[in-house]
Amino acid sequence: MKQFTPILLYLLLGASTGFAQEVFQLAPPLVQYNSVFFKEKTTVFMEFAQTGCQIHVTLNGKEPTANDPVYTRALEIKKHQTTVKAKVFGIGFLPSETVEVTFYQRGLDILAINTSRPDKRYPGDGPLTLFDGKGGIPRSDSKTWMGFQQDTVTVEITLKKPKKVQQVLLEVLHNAGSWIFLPQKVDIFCQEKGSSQLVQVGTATFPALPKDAPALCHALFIKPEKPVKTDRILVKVYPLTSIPAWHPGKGTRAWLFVDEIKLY
Amino acid sequence: MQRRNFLRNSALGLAGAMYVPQILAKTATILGHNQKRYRINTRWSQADVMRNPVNDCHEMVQDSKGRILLLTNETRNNVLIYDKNGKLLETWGTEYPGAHGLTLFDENGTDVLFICDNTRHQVIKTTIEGKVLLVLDYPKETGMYDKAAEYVPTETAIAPNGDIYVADGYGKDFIIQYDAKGRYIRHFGGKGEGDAYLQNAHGIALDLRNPLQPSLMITSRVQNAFKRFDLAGKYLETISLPGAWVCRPVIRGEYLYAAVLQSNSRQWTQSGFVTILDKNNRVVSNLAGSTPTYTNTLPDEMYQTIKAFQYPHDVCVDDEENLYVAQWNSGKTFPYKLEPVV
Repeated sequence: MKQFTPILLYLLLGASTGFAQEVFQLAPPLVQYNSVFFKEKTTVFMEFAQTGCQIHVTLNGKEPTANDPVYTRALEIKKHQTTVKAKVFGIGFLPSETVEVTFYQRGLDILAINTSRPDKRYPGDGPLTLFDGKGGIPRSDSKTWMGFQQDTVTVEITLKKPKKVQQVLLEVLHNAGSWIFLPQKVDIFCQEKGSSQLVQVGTATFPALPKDAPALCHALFIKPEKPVKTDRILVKVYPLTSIPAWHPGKGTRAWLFVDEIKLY
Repeated sequence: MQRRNFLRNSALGLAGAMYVPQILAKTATILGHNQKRYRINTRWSQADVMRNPVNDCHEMVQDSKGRILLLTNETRNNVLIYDKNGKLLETWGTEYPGAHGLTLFDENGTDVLFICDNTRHQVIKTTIEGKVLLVLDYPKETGMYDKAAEYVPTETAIAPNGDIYVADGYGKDFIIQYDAKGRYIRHFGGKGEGDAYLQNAHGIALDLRNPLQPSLMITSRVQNAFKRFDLAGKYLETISLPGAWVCRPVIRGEYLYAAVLQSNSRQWTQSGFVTILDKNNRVVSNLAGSTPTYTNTLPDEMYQTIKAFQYPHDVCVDDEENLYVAQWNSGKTFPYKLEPVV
């Protein structure tokens, strides 16, 4: 019965005002954390300072509803690949879009990463940028990002010692408003023990996201066709060469923003 | 039931506002906090979009006849003149492709306008009817500029003595001071990190709220702040507004109003709102933004909470305390009107 009270209120008020008004959508909540990559555990803070509104949260990957738990205090994340989804609900407004953040453990120990030269405006934060454990901040001005606008971006990863590698994680940004899109393709090569040759061991393609896709970080997983044991991996990333037709930059080259690479 | 409407209206680019069946939708949304709360009307403009289109709606002012002037970079009609009810009275201007800043000055009882044009790299003074009175080219006198393209003026402020202050907000972030005739006096500010420097000096206004100390309130938008300087260009203080990409300060009565282009936490995703500061430059209200709170003397991070605006670019406050909000890059939407809730 409680659910019906607001509607009744609308009807009563509606009779007295006489002109139609829009119903606005709520903005997503402010979600804060140091990084989506963690060693043992990490903490997520949220806020939404709007009277009468509440943040509802899920940790099981499902879309939050008004029946899911309300955010009341910081969340502690301990499990690899935990997805936090948060959405704001409030009477008189359409619910917000969902904020989605997935947290990852740090994976294999990386000794060094060498990359193609990033654009001078988006150099990241020094040579450790792609394996400093800092990433997943969706603001494009965060120093965690290296920005590229070129045909191919190569990333050469050296491990401390040969390890079995089952997956490569590439954390990238999508923000159409800033002309930043997912790459169209990623190839991985590795140098197996006793060989001096780099051999292609995997590839993955990524379709452009739809027009209304929110500005979010995405972890792209690329799997070798079979697990490899190696201490040297080369990742070739192909930024989107032609921005989709719905965008003001249609047909031109998109930006690629990468903030972290992990191996599992 | 709303899913289909949502999709259809998004396709039309309707300001993030969605229509729902009238029977559900008749309660007016109230925006803001404390003594500064408003009812929003997104359909204030009665202009015919086919005859009088707009592009980016950059700035608005009210003239001495009570009319509301809008400056847009649509060269079919750069200036649209409305009455307070949204009826379009007249238009003029076809030669301002980069129309950005609009300032009105009472020059001995006569309204004059100052237009900053980003594309022409010029400031143009006109009568209220659009007749050109003075053109200021790029300020080579400063010694800081080699060519016009380096100078992208965004705003002017006019001192009571007629001195013209130009903010080069998309160029080198200098403030250039001229006398009323357009003769260079000095420059200050400029791009940089220290207190007396600016980053995206997007707006400037005379602040006469303290009659003993008239000053200039200048936007440093990327720093999410206003900076106060005296009329000779000496830096006085910074008013930090964490999270808020403030456009120009608009001072009326004891209050300072500013469109916030976007929330720092959600950049380039139509996350704007409007902020209002009291006479002590403390945030008292955010329209479509977070409830203002302070930790010690600094505001807590501010952000959009209601998608009522996309990229608000200016606020005009009329003689009845109504607000008009013009927006940049927001689907060529006409301005909104907000009426105070008492």
